[in-house]
Amino acid sequence: MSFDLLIVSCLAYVVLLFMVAFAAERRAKQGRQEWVRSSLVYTLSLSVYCTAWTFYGAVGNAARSGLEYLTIYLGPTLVLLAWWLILRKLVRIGRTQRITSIADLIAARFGKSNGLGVIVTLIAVAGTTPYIALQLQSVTLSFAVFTQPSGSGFAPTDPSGTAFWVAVGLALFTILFGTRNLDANERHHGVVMAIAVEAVVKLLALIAVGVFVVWGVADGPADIMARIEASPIATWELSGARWVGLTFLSAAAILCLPRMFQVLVVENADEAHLATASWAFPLYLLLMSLFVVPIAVIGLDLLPQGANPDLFVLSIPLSEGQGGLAMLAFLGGFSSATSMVIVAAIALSTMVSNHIVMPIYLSFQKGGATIAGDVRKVVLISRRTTIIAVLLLGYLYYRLSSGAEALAAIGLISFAGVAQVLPILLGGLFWRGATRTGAAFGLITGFTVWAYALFLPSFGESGVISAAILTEGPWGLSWLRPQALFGIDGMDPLVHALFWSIALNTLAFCAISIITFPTPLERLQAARLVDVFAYTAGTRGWARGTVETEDLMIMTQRILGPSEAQALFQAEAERQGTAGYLPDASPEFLERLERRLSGSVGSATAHAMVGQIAGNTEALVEDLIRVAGEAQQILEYSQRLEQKSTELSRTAGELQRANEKLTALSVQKDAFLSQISHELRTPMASIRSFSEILRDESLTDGERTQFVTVIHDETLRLTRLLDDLLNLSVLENAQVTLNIGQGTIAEMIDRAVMASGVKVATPVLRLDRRKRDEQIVVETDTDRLTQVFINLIGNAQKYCDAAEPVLRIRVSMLHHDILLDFMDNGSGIPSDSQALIFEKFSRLTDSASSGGAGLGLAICREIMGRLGGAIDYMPGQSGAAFRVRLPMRAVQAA
Amino acid sequence: MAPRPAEPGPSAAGEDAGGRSTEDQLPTHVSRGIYRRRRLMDAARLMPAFGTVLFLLPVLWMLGDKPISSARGMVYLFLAWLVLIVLAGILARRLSDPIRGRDPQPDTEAGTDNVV
Repeated sequence: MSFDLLIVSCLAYVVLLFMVAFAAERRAKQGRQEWVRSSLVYTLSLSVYCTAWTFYGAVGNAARSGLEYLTIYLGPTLVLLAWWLILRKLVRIGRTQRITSIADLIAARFGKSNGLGVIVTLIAVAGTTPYIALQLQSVTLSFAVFTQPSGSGFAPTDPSGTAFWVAVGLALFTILFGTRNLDANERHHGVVMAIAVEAVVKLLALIAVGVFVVWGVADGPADIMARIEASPIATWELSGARWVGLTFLSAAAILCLPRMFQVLVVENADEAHLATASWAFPLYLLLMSLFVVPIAVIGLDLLPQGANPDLFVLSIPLSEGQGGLAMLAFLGGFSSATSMVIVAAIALSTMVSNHIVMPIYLSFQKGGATIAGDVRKVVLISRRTTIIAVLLLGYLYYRLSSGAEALAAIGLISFAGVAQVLPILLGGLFWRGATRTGAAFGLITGFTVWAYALFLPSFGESGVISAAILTEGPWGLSWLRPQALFGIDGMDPLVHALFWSIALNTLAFCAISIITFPTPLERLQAARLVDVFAYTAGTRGWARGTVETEDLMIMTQRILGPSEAQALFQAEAERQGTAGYLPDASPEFLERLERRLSGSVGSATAHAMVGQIAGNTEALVEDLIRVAGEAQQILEYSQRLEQKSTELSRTAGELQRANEKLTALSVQKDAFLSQISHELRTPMASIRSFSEILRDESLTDGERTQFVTVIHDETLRLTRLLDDLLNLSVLENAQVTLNIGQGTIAEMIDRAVMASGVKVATPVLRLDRRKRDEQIVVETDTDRLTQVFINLIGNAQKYCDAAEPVLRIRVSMLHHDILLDFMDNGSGIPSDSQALIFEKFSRLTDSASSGGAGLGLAICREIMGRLGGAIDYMPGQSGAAFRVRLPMRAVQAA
Repeated sequence: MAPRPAEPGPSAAGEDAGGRSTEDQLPTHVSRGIYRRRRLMDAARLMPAFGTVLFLLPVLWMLGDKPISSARGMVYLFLAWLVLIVLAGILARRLSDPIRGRDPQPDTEAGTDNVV
């Protein structure tokens, strides 16, 4: 098999790829995309995950450490199984926000922060460049296998020359098909199609070699099983930490690797394709890894000691004389390498140009996007330059890291580097509280730990990290030894670094997110991305008004190209119902335009560009928040005013009530005065007239005595009235001092009966008492209570209109109160007067002869109030009935 | 000139609008079809956990003293893998029907992760 033939078939393969890509582009352009954008192509395009490193390296890995190679495939399987949970959300966000790369996603999530975009881009470049170098190396090595007599070693005549030309070819292809369209959302149909073809080639190649090994070299599956049992890798030396760690790592990688994000999210045309990929891609991975162990075992068995197990896939067919099969295997490896490099270069160039080149370019163009030159050209040039730069970087890395061993290890190391984005990605997707500062701290922390504990030590002891630092730690701080951080010794270096970097990354991310406060735009974006299934229509708006549509048009033309921009604007004008090319710069239009532009230059840049013309939206949102804040203040102020005014009206109401009370009191006072003058005037008048008669000398002694008696009676009545008045006023003004003593109810009633003179008056009031019940000792002011009884008995005597008046006195206990009921058998008090009887001067019958001033019951009520009890009229009895309620122990009411 | 970009499809918008409305209402009892579909979603969410358990099980084998045969380990892992693929295939088929628009019923809960 000649080297020339190899070159020719290689070139033919590349030409085939070009043709496939070209045809796919054509079909897509003609609108016949059904096949190009099918779920099969999508699934196959995911196979950029399987690079030359996995194509060749998996066998090598299996030959060295048994089944451990499977972790690299199991991790992605788990992630694809989680499509409903994670990938669907990722794809939906990618579509609604027109995300162009993983850096763009992180930037968009944390308030369109370009700073974060730059950090992620740098991590991606640092993690991907060595990987590109690895691809170049594998292609070079596989070339070498053919130039050397059957795989005894590798000393290719001009390895770097091969690598260089491979790099040039790849750059050419990538530029041709990867930067054809500016808008990443238009998807790279050609590239995706080419990758899908490459996926088929590498799968077929590996399966062909596998089938040859199992049925050609060995005698079928049973024989292979027997050979495995007999091989050096018969026992599975499983390290739990590495098994878990590597599975996690590869799961993280499929989410975070820029190239995987490109095919998984950016190139996704339909969410339903994810459903197919969720089982089809794991199946693809299964098939890719099915024959790895058999190939490794046969290789170990067949080939001489010291043969590089990484190249078994090639060297077994060659040693068996199967030139054609070897060629197929070679093409498989070649396609693995090329597809990875192409997609990685596209992804990286998008990131670098959107997050690093364009912001710098824009900041140099002070006049803003309208005055700047053709932005479209700048973007394309920057992307193409970046592609060349990325490949050049990979090539240089390959040249500089001379040892093959160092490169082989770099695959997992760069995985670990890129995996630093995982906590921020997942946190950003599911946790609204994640902030920009937290994300930046997390990323930087994780990246630093990764570099210190894994990346730098990987250059060997002659590199940045010296042997002394490895064993002693920097400045003799043993707890900072790169491979035994915090004194945790004996862990596998990769798992150790992975654990600490991810753990500290997550810790910093969460802790800083919790203590910092997000900007308004960040919160808005957080809500939109985390709740992407709830939101689809945009909520953030551009303010209408100051925007000049013409400026927008000029800018859009420079990014999308004149014809497309005009079509876009015309369509918008049609939608708005205005004639011509210039639609209103409505907020909806601005938002659509921004999203459209972000497909070309990334969300942060597009936001900045529209912002330059439409006014800075960040300031706008902050303005809104400020305005909202002011509105809030005004609201609070008016609420306070309202509170005060209700307080005022309440006070006014109280004043009014007080005033009414005062007026009523004044009326009462007037009534009282007129009453009292009337009461005083009547006896005074009779005293005066009788004393005038007495001055007349011609009176007989009998007459004189009679008139003097009248005067005496009237004076007595006056005195009684004045006594009562005094009594009442003393009681009402609370100036009374109670004279608390003890006595039984019976004694007091006896005294009252005696004082009221019931026995002597006519008609005789019969008392109906139950003396047994009255033997209750109370502690109270006995004199005052007796006064109440006197009043009640006197009233009964005066007003009871029965022929044989009877007063029933009943004593009973209720709780801690003594109840005394005074009930006569008269006609009682009419119900409409019952409320009045306790008022002063209220006499129901105007019988002056009764000799009372109408103050008795008023005094009784006052006294009972003082004693802590009460006196009430009891309606519904056979006659007038009063109930006196008295507490067992006197309460001195103030 | 490159082709015009595809606008978000009407089906996607409708789906989201539907999702929004269910979220607002949160009915307690839903029809049998929707209930079934939600349990399918639960299953889809559980799949990665199930897969993780299956794939990490060999770590437990290490606790024993006996050496583990690579061949048997390989057979186990590939079988587990195959089972997961088949299950994922069934779930994907049934879950994606409404997304693909084959189902006449609108996919009212595709967008709501919280509705039970």
